Amino acid sequence: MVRSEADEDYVEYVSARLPALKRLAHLLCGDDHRADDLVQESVTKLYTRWHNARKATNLDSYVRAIVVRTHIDNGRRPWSRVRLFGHPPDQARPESSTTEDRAVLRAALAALPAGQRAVLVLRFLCDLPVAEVGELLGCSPGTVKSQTSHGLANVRQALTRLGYPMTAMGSWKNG
Amino acid sequence: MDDEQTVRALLGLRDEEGAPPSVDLAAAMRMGRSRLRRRRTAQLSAGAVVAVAVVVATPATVQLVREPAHPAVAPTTTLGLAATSSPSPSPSPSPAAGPTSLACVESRLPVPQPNQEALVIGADPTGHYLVGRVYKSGHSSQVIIWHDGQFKTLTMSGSDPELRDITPNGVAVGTSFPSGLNSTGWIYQNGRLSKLKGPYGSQAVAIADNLTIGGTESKDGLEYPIVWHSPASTAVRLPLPGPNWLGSVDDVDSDGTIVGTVRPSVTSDANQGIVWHPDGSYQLLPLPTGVVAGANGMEVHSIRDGAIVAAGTVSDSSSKTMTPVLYRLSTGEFTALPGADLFIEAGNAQGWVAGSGSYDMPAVYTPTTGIVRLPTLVPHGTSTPPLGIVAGTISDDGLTIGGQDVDAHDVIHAVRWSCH
Repeated sequence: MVRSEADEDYVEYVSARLPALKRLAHLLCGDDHRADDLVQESVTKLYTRWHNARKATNLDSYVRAIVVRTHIDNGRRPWSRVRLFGHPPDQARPESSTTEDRAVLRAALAALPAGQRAVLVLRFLCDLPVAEVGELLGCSPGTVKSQTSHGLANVRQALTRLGYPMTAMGSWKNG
Repeated sequence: MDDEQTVRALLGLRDEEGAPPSVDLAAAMRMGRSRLRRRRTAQLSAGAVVAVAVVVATPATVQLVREPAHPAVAPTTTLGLAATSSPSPSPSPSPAAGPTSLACVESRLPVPQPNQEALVIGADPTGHYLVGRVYKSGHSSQVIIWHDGQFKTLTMSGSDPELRDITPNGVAVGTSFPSGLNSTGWIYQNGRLSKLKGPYGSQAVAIADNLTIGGTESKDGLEYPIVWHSPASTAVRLPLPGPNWLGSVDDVDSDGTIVGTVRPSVTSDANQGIVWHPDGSYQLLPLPTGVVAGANGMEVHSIRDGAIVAAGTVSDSSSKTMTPVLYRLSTGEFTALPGADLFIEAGNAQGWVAGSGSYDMPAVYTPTTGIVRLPTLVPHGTSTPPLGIVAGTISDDGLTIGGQDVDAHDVIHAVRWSCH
C-alpha cells in the first residue's frame, strides 16, 4: 500500500504530539482509558480535516481545540464505540504522599460541568491565556472569566466536601 | 479557601502524567476516511480495506504492521471516465434479474465558484436531488442542494453545516453546531431553512416522504435515537430495549419506518439492528448468523421499501470484519450479498451497495455484477487514492450514485456517477 504524503505528514505530526494530547485529555477526563479514547477520537477528527488543517498557522492550538471540543460536545459522533487495538497493560503509578490529594483533586474536577472543567484545565494546568481559552472553547474572554470563577467556586466546594487538606497553602500569583 | 488557594491546589495536578498514550493511528485514519465518506455509523475496520496499521503504544514507538492485500476488485477497469465489470456467478438475492454489466460515468456537480470544494452527503431515493456542503474560504461552509444539474446554496448558522437527506419533494434535513459545542437539527422546507426543535446535541439524520425525521441526540458523551414526528414537533427519544441501552438512527424509510443501530450499554460492542415502526412499536433485529459465519453484531446502514442493508460484524479482541447483508422486513429473513467485499456507504432494496472496495476506491456492488469499481477524476490504479473519494449515495434504481472525488490538485469535488 502506498501512503500519501499527507498521510505521512499526519502520522509524523500526531506521533510527536501524542504525549501532550494525552496529558490534556487526561486532565480533562480524569480517567486514563477515557483519555485514550478522547485522543483517539480527536486525532480521527484531525485526520478528517487534515487536508486543510495541515496548512494552519497554529496547528497545535487547532488540535487542542479539537480535543477540548470533543470532550465538551458530548460526543458528536458515536466514538464511544471505538475500541482501541491492544491496550497496553496499565502502568502502576508509584505511591506517593500526594496520591490521595490528587485523587481528591481529580474528583473535584470531575464533578464540574465539562465547560468549567475545560476552562480550569486550559487556564491553569495548560497555562493558556484567557483569550486563547476563549478561542478554543468558542466563547468570549468574558465567558472564560465567568466560567473560571464559577469553576473555582465549585472546585472549592467539592474540595471542602471531600475533605481536601487546606493547610500549608501559600499564595498564588496570577500570571 | 479563596480562589488563589483553590488554583494552587489544582496545580497539584499540573505535573500529573497518565499512562503512555495508547492510540491507534491506523484506526484513526481508517475511521477518518470513513467519516470523510460520510458513513452513517462508526466503523473500525473491514476486510475489504487494505490497511497499514500504525500502532502507537508509547510516545517513542511506532510499529508498522502490514496486512495482506485483498485481490483487486473489478475484473476490468477502463481508465478515464468509465468502468465496466463482467457478470459474476453470484446468485441474486431476489428472483428478479439484475444487470449483467454496469458502466458508470462520473461528472462533477456544479458549484457557485469554479473549483469551489463541495461534497455530496445525501440524496433522495430517485437520485434527482443530491444534498451536501460547499466550502467557502477558510473553514466556513454552506449547505447545497442539487436538482437535476441545478443547484441552490443556503446559509445555515453554526459550524460544520450539512444537509444529510432529502425527500423526492425536495424537503431536506441536516445539522450544524450553532454554539460550537452543541449540534442542532435543521429542515429545509418551502424555500427556507429553520431549526428543528429538540435538545442540545440533536442531529437530524434522515427524513421520510411523510416528513418523519429520524435523528440522534448526543448527551454526556452518549447517543440516543430520536424522532421528530413532524417538522414542527419537538424531538423525542425513541424507545430502547432497556435503561442502559444506547444507539443512533441510521435511516428512515419512505413510510416513516426508522432503522438504527443499538447496543446494551456504553461498555458493550454488541451492536444490533433495530426498527421503529410508524405505529410506535419497535423490534430488535436478529443477528445474521445464518449468512455471516460467527456474526456477533450488526450495524445498519439504510432502509428502502422495507429492505435493510446492514453489515454483519464478527469482532474479537483485535479485529472486526464487516460483511454486507440484506434483511427484508416482510419476510424476516437475511440474504447474503456474495462477493460484496466493500465498505457500505448506502444500499437499496435490490441489494445494491455503494461504498469503497479494494484500495479504498469508490465502488458499487450489485448481486449480478459483483463489485464494479467507479471511475475517478484521476486514475489511481492500485495505489492508495487521496483522502475523500467517496461513493456515498445510491438511488432506488441503482443508476445514480452521489459522492465526492479529489482532483490532481487535491481539490474535493461533488460528483455524480451515472450508470447504465
